[in-house]
Amino acid sequence: MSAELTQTSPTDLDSKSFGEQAQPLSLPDDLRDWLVDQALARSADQRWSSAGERFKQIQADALQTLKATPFPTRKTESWRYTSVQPLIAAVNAAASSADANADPASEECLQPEALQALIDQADLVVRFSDTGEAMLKLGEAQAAHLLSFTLHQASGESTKAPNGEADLLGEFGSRVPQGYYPFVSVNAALLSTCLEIRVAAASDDSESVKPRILLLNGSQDAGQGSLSDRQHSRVLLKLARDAHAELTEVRLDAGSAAVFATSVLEASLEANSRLQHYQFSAAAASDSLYAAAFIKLGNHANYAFNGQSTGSALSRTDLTVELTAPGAYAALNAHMLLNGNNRCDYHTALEHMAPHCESDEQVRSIVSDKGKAVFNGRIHIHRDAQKTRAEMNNRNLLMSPQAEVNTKPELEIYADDVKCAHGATIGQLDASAVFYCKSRGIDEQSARSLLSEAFIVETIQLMPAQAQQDLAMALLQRFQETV
Amino acid sequence: MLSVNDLYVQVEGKEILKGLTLQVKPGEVHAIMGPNGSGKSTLSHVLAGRSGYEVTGGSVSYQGKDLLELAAEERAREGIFLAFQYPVEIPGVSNLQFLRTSLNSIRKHRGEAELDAASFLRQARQLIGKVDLDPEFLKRGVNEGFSGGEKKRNEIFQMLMLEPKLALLDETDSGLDIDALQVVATGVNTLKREDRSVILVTHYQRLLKYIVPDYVHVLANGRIVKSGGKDLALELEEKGYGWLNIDDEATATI
Repeated sequence: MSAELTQTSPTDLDSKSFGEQAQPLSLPDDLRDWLVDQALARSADQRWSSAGERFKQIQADALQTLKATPFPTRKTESWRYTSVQPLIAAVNAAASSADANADPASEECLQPEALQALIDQADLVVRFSDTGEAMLKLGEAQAAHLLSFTLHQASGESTKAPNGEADLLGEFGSRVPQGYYPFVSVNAALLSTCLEIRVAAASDDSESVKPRILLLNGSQDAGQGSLSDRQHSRVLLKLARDAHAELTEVRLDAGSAAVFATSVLEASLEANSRLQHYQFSAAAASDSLYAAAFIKLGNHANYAFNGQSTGSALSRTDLTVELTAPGAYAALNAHMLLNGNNRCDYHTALEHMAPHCESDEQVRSIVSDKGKAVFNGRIHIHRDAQKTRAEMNNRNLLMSPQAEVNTKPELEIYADDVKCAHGATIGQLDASAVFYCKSRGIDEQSARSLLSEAFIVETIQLMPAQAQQDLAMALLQRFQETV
Repeated sequence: MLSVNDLYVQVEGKEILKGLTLQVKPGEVHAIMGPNGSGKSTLSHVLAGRSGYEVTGGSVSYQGKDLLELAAEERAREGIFLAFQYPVEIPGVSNLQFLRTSLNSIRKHRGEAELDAASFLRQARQLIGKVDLDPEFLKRGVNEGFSGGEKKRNEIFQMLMLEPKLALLDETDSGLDIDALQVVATGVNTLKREDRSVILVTHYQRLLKYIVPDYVHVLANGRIVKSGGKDLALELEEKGYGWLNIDDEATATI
């Protein structure tokens, strides 16, 4: 596909791709073309030591799709309130970094103690780095033996679990629904790591042997004025019948380099399996982040998503859950904590495809300064999905006059015997509650943070695991200190 | 303690208090009675520092300070406590967390060290018993899902925890059954000390069976039209407000 590039060394490629950029990018499609160039340039030095041919094919296919995909503009309905301009600006800034002013040393990334607790208890930890290389640590607890997996890396070796490969590569991309997902193509085209995991059921079906998988994303510092864009990961996850698992994704960024990262999870939950999925994002303000999760639920499978995000210049999450067999249940809970110019966008879709399934969704946001929260919650009840119960609720708290919230619940119902409810509210702190606090000696600022915190604590308490609750509380405290 | 002189207050452009004068000395209990719409709640809110109440004339001095210059939270830290007629629900903030934040900001103002968690909890558990509330209420959200009576008891519990110098009870007795009324009265009587004062704003005389006031004032049409001892309350109970020649505008709403 790119034979003419094979003689060039990786370092040359980087400088070349920036150097060749005669004009700064301006339109979203310029960004797409730049990403295509990046992918082509990188494909030369990718080694993918195992399954290399497979990945080359995946990337070639993704490139074909990407080239034909117009990038989202303000006229693109599903991207109406979230612009890709911050990423364009970051690419331009990196291209002209030679004359960029150096900032003072970057802030140390404060790692909350709560994160260490998560690391300690995890059975599998994968740490993704700026260079695109990943490190893996496998615990020795009983639960770890329920995992079979392979970590594939574009830059080097692959790592297999002692008890075998997951053998899921054939399903790469198969969970991605029909629709407009330009950054899922970007993720495949620029792919740096792919983790495939299969979780087996414990023989005694007890909660205590639930494997805990922790994915750590973070950028320490790729250098002033540069763009750290080698974190594009795909996770393929399969829970066998009756299997239990916990998957926690954490992004903590520090450093002055802007990060462009994408992560895509494709998961399928077989009958009666349970997945607790957590996603924490405390990124730097300059980051452009895309995350997607495509989850397929079988008979009586149970999926719980808990997300917390402090947003960034561009921060978009697409989350689609397909309830394909009777008795499946999905709970989606997320909250956004936004200040400065940070944006955050959750697009969720619950596809109720079978009868007797249920879903609950609760999304909240606190928006200060010029922050901007976007929520699009779709519930689609297919014709056969009789006796569905689906409830969705979105509540937003505006803390400043320039804060912005765009919310859109979407219900599309083709079955006639269903119970669906949805609600969305946007409000400010209750003045009488603020006065009540003040009348007890609590100053205005503390009262506002006490009351807004209370609003979010309710969703944090929905997290089933204590360690994740602790991390969410720690990140909430850190957010409150900056407001 | 408190000296209100010729106070004029407007709410949304409408004059509610029209030259109110009131002197409260340390250790005294004053009852302020009057028909609906006479300005009783306005008086307690303006003393607590709620926004939206515009003082257009007169002055209020509290412990030698110009009270009207102080923000609501500063008044609370200086020892003023308002027991709300309609206490606010704050889901997600536990009673314990709320009170601890409150008590510590008051202690900090007084130059005292923050109370450690254990002593605070001990004190809270002891005092919540005085208002006949289960200690489980400490863990619940502030007033969240409390009944009317439980909310009022919770106000009295907060008052006992914060030990104010001047307690304003805004119709704390309204809507209470006899048991709850006695709890409120016991709370106030527990608080009473020679350096602490209480202002009871009430529509009815019945609370005054349990808390004996030193003075009773009748507020009508924005002013105090009659003051007396505890017997005045009984006289009001018997004769109503009509005999005081309160003008029609005020009495019409009784």
